[in-house]
Amino acid sequence: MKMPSDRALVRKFQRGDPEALLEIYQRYRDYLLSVAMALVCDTNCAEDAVHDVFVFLAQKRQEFRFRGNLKACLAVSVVNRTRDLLRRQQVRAAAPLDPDAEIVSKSPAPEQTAMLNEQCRRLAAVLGQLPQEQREVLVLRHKCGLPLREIANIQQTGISTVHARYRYALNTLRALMNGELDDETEA
Amino acid sequence: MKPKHEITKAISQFEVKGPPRLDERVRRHVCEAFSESVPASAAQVRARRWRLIASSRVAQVAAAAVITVTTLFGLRLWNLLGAEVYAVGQTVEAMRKIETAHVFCTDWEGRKSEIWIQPNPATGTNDFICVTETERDYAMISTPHVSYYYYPGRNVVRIVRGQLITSDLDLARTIESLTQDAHRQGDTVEIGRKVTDRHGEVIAIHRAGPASEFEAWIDPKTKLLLSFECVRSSNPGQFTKSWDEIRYNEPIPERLLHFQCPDDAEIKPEGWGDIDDPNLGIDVTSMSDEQACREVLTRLFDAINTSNLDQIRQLVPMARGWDDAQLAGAIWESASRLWDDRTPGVPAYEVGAPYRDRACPLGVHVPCTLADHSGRQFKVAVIVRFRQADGRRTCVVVSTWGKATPLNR
Repeated sequence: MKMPSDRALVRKFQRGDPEALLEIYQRYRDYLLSVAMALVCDTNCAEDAVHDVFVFLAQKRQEFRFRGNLKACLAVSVVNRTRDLLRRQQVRAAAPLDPDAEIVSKSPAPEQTAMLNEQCRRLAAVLGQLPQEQREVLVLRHKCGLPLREIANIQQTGISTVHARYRYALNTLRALMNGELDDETEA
Repeated sequence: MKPKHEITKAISQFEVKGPPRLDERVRRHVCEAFSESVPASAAQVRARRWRLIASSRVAQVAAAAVITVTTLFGLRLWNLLGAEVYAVGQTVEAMRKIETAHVFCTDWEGRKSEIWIQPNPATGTNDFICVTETERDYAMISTPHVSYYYYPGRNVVRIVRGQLITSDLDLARTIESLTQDAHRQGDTVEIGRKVTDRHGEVIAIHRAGPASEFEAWIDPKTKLLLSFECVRSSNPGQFTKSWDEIRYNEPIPERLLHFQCPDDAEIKPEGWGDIDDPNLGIDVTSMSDEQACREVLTRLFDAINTSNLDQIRQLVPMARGWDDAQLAGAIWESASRLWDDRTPGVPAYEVGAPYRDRACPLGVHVPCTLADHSGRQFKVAVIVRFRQADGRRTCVVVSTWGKATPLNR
């Protein structure tokens, strides 16, 4: 059975069908939650961000306009919402992860899944040590696949600033993660 | 150092699986949001239905019945009906059962205060109330037999016989009045569900009209009031700006509940006149309410204009707590707050028809229009209390209700 396109689902939910919006949610839930989680390193806050974006979409469905890629559009909404939540709740970026959080990898092999679970956990922990703006650049670039120029628009700053944030973020991560992944892969 | 491509790969592969609890939460709130964002005409119909539910005497029974039905027929019906299985009477009843309330408030100047209340479920009045304002170095503790004003910075305690009338704060009645007199005021009341950062999902009661706008948040589980805010008011002295947080059934600290004057404090015994003392006020046995209010206020304004302090004390029992200098100072201060030129007196005034406000148990409210020497006009509500004793009907002036607001400035 052919899956409806994102655009068709958007049209349906704008006409008042909540199931269409819930299908969009199911389609991108894990991806959006991963984006939020990488940004806030807090399960509850990440869930709040994803939840708020979809409730907002339901409330403002008549005004919702998106161009191009729905997935990227939702990801940017989640990024903006996490920024608001961090500002409001002052969630500490480096707070320890919720031990109950279910973190999995895309990898199909069970033995790799277990290993990557731990990798994800460690990655979240080191991402949490970066300044928020740098974390956003890395996540938007590599998790959402956005070009740096678009990230500059989202962060409302110059492209050179985004370049610098990207470079600093990578250097910091390389230093922080030095040896950690090697240990895992060698094991 | 770790190669760049390994880091970028790790980020791109980072993935979290959404828990079932999130699915359930999103589904519920998305469905509710869809059911709420309906066209205007339907929304008006729903609001009217809500007003009926809120004001109905059988609202609690009806709400309970709906809850029972939805429980029987499953979750989806509950989702569809959402916020509508709620009646304000449920909150009023729940708040009548509390043992204590600890309220954190903010006033219109942004000052914070705390209030402890211990209501008496049998009488509906407060057995104990304590208001502390750190910024103003002030605590007011009121019990049925004795009340204290304590100023820690100055180490002064004023002791007042009996309960202070200002301590008559009834949280349940405040919520009841939020919806009950809306129709008379021409205000609209909307009740719905809302997700807030502070409390999560709440029942939100929103009342708005030309003169004021309020929002109250109710806990959907306990039906107790979570917070209350006066968003806008044309008479901002009438209410505290907001009750930011309310904690229920916390034990009242012993030092407040059984207040002891500090050994080295300066004690100043005082006494307000009793607002129910039949010897005070004027006899209005043969008058209608409107005539009585006009008579007592005309006498009061004349007494202020002629600086007849004894007459003021006869008409306003609370003024009996002050000596001549204090009373003259209070009139002077009121005048200077109202008129810029610090000229005491009310050269022109007009007394309107009295009305009842359920939020105020002290008496009827009488809207008055006052004018200063330069002709500028202000409006203020004055509380007049009627008493019945020995076959006589008398009335006194209690105080103003809120601040005076300019009409033509």
